[in-house]
Amino acid sequence: MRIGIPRALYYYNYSPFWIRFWETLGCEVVLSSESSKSIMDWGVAHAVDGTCLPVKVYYGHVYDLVTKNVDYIFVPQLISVWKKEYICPKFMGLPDMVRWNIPNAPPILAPVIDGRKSGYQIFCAYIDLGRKFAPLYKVLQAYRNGLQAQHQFEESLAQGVPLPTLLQGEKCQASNTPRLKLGLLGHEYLIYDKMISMGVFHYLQAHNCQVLTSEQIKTSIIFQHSSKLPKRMFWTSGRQILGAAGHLCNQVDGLISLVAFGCGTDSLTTDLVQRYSRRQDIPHLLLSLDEHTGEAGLITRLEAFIDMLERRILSEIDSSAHGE
Amino acid sequence: MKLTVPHMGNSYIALEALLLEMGHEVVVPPASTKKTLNLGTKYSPESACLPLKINIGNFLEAIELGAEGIIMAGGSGPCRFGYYAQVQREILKDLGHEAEVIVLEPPNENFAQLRLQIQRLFALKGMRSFWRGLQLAWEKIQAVEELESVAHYTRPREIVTGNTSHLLANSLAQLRKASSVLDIRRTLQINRDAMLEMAINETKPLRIGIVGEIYTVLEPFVNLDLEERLGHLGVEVNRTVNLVEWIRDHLVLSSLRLYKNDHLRKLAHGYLRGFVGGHGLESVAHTVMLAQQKFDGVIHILPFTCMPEIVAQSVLRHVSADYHIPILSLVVDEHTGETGFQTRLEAFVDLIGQKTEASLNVEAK
Repeated sequence: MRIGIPRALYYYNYSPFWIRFWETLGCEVVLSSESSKSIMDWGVAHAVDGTCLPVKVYYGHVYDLVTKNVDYIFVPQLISVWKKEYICPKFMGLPDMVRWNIPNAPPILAPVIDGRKSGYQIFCAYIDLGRKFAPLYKVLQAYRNGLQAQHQFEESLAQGVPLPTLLQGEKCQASNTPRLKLGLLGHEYLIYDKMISMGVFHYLQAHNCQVLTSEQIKTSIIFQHSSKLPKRMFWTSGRQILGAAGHLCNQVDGLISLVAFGCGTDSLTTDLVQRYSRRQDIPHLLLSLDEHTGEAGLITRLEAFIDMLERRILSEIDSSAHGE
Repeated sequence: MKLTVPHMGNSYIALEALLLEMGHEVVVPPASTKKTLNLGTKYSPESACLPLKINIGNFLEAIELGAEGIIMAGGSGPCRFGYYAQVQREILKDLGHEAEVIVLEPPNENFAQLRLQIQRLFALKGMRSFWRGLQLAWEKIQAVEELESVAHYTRPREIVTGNTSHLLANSLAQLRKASSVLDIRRTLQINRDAMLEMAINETKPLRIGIVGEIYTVLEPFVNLDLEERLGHLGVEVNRTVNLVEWIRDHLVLSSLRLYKNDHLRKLAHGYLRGFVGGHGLESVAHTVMLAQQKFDGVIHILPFTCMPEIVAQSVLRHVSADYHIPILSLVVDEHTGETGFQTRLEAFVDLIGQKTEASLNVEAK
């Protein structure tokens, strides 16, 4: 049995669990190819215009799996992974959007992951899903193994191992004497997809900057900062980004927000990050990405931002963070 | 404290009545115009959805007229609307305005806070006038929507184009002034009869249903008077989302956990599994319902980048194919141009007219 998992969206958060779960059940896991121009183009051509870029790319990945002859494609309906929180409406409709927009797709496995009330529902969803493929004892074992892999993954992240190293085995050598410390805020599926983000993360590392991201920060610290908001943030990723911004702003030279054009949650959370960082006089760079983003322009902006930060430190003059 | 509320269709008529009855001074923002939009887009985050921007425009114009407090609704996701007020508060703060944003969150979000705020709002005149205000507001909003739906019926049947709109505007102004339930009912009765009297043109108009995001459906400035335009093109409009239902289902019943969307899920079965935030599920379910009721076409309207409606839009084209019902998706934002909008509507209505005629000819043979 070949199970296809698209290498996009929450693959970057939960793939250790998913892969171990399916492998313990005795299935072969097929990942889609890494994002490429053709994958993106296919998605852009087949999605509704206003869809955000990451979902368009997701379509492309599913299509890539269709061409790889898998028996099933795993597209979970992620409603909520945290109590009383949501991810995003598009994640809630993802299986339906995929099913109706990708021709000739094999059957889609779409468990309903709804942890709004408790984690028990998530457990049940995976058990029900696994029961179609294996006896109960094996499914339970798969679930346990999956969780173990996921914990290991999250612990390594917290210890500072970069995510690409863990998922793709890439070497990301962080320098010992970085010239700048930068906070990089954004969804994991943007930051670590080299195609969508044009390799911003790798560029910064290669240019001797220490990059701090939100998944390396402990959940308790994130909550400590996000709970200072006047209203509870009801998007998990938004809470993560705002909490991380609160935590990082005192220890970095500058913040960079990576945003996908058309992303609904980011349009509000990033605006708040921008306002808060301006009030605290922390330099903030907003990079908005879409299918028309050119690499040269992006790199120029990064270079200019880094130069400005360095000059700010060197001159030790209290130069304005926002050019006013 | 002078209070203001953002515009959303004709809801201000009811909200003003409620607040006045509770003893507050009310500043209704001037009806949304190009100026409102410009103010809003200038100060709002660029990629936020259109309603947030128009709200900001409304607030700024109301503050200019002396408003000191802004009443806004909250929410608990996943639609962006639930976080609007928080961002709007920061925008106003950065602009140096001191107006207080009073956010009414649903009871399951923060009950204690809601109670405090409501207590504050009816502190002036007490509980009894609060209930009276609610009664008046509910009666008014029902009357408004009844008159609007009568207008949908009469517009394609009127002899002199524009009469219905004129009468409707007059009767809404009368409703706004009405100060008792009896008064409201009488105004409704008289105006409804007057409007129906004009509908003597015995044509059989095309029927088009409107689905989509509630703010863009209800706010005529944002949808460029969609209903009126269609009416003047000779189309009878059926608006599937309205305030009365929204207040009953989403504000009252769902916060008491009594609201069930089973009937919608049943209609949307096969296309959408369930709730996707906002009115996404409603859009799909209502389109299926309209198709089953043999409507001639459906117009789906949404603000640019609206998350729930994009999910709906992604499956709607397949509803269209399965039920053979033409669907036009209209995405609106601050750049929507009037001429292009009108051209698309005319083309759509023409196409539907030809399609209906062709199928009638086939039946006749």
